[in-house]
Amino acid sequence: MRADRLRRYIDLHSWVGIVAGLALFVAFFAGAVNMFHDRIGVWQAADQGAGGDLQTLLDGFLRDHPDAGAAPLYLVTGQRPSILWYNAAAGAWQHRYAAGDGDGGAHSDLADFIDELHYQLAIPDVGLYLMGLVSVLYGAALISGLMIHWPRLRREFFALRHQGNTRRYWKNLHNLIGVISFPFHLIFAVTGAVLCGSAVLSLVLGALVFGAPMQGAVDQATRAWPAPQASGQRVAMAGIDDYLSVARQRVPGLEVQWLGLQRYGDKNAVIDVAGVVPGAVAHHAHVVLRGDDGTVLRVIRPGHRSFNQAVLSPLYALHFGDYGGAPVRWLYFGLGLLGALLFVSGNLLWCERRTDRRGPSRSAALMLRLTLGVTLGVVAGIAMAFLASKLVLHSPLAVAVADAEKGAFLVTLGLAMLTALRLPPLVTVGAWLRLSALLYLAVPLLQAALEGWSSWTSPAVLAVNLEMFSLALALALVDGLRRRRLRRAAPHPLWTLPIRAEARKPGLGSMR
Amino acid sequence: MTDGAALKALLGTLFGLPLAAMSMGLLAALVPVDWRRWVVLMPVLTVLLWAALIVIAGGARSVPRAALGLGAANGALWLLLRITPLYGGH
Repeated sequence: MRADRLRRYIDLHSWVGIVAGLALFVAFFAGAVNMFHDRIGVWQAADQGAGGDLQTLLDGFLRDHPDAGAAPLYLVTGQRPSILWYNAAAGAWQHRYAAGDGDGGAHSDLADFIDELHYQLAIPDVGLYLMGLVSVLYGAALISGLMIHWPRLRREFFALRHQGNTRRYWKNLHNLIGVISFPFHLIFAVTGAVLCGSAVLSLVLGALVFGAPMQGAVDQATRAWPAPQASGQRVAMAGIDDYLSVARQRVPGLEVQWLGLQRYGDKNAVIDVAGVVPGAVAHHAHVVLRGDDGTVLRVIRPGHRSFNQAVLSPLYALHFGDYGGAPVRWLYFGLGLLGALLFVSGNLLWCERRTDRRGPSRSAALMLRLTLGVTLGVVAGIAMAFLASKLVLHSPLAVAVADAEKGAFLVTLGLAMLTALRLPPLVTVGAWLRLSALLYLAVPLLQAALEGWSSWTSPAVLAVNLEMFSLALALALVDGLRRRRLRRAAPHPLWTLPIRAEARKPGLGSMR
Repeated sequence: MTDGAALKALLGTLFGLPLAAMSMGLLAALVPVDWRRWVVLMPVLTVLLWAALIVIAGGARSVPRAALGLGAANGALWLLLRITPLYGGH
């Protein structure tokens, strides 16, 4: 490739990378933690009991909310069954747990908070669309990165060693991670963009090309069954056990994950028994039944579905990594952490390119501190959310546990940003890396101290605690690599010198 | 740093989406299958093409070239779609 064209692609790659990098770091780190979402849901309430009967849960819920059947309800199965419903008064979706104390009381939101951090940066309303756009930019960074390296890929692949020229430390690391994990990153970029931006994409396709029929076509293609109209006639419903029995007969091997109830209690009620059939990537299945007598209306399963459904299922499965059990879950966890490191290294590379022997430019100095503050703040903040969850749940302030989790995260992020702006970068990164490793180490130990080591016999609790230990180890490894890098060569001027004299402006004396 | 890298990326982001979407319309005109039967695949292809268009725009020699190219392509596709009988509410 001609040198000028290569230069243009490198600059594009840098720009889209720097614009999207921090958001992608949050998405990937939270996403890695979120690979254990369902298990975190059990861990966060390990002391509050698990199990419970779905029918009893549903009946009790409808006694308390007689009109709730008019809106969609979702019965979620698993180790901690719950009913998910939209509370119009609160303007939010809520869970009621089978093993719980009704709608009020102390309920941790830890798993959902981590999930929100992942897919919308915990920014309500616009965060989802923002992440859709970030994912597209991420795709552009991947394509441009591949074009930059493609001509030299075979020759340089085995030369992309982490050791080597220490002044090219971050470049080597960035290239190594990027090249090795490229296929996975492309999957995440495309599926992430589609999942986050599906509403906007449908809108644009409809407005520019297909007109009004677009939305109807999307609904028909993606829903298991159209939303039924209420008949106004109340009839008795078949039982949950009946629905599950029929579904499992029609789809052998079905592992039910949730039941969608539409117009429950009405003559036109429809029940969607949704789950997965292990053994395939595109493993989703639906058995749609009449609510009154359990008559089968539609079956969607691997090998027996439309092309649209056959595309939809792997979109979700490849993104969430839920198709291969524990090995794939841990693989995605590792890929998520490596991805987070990819974006950090990219930002640091951007800063280093704008630094010379006289020191960093103003933009490089600011971006370095912003990168350190956000990344280290998010890492430590998530650990603090886990710690706050347990501490507050076992305190007189238990009813405020959800607020405490978010508060702990935000305060930690704020502190990290403050120290990143005020302290020398080398001090910031060393202190926060070690602190974060200790925080993640403390999470399972605190959980055991408060809830007993016997709670670790729960596979879900054990999995989350192992995840916390893994994060502590990963952070300790990164800190070890950092210290080894410092032993091998003097730090890059970006980390040690003040802003270049001719770029300095009044009031930036703290940026040393 | 090449001239206008950020601006070219912005142009590609803004004008790449309608171009990618309209390309789906053209593809649907060529493929002898009712577009409703593969409507879920369209956002996937749109996203891939959109990302590729951002890269193509970034590779242009100058900002005016990128703007001209994107503008011309959008205009051409818009016109092409208008002369096909299969879209716009059908």
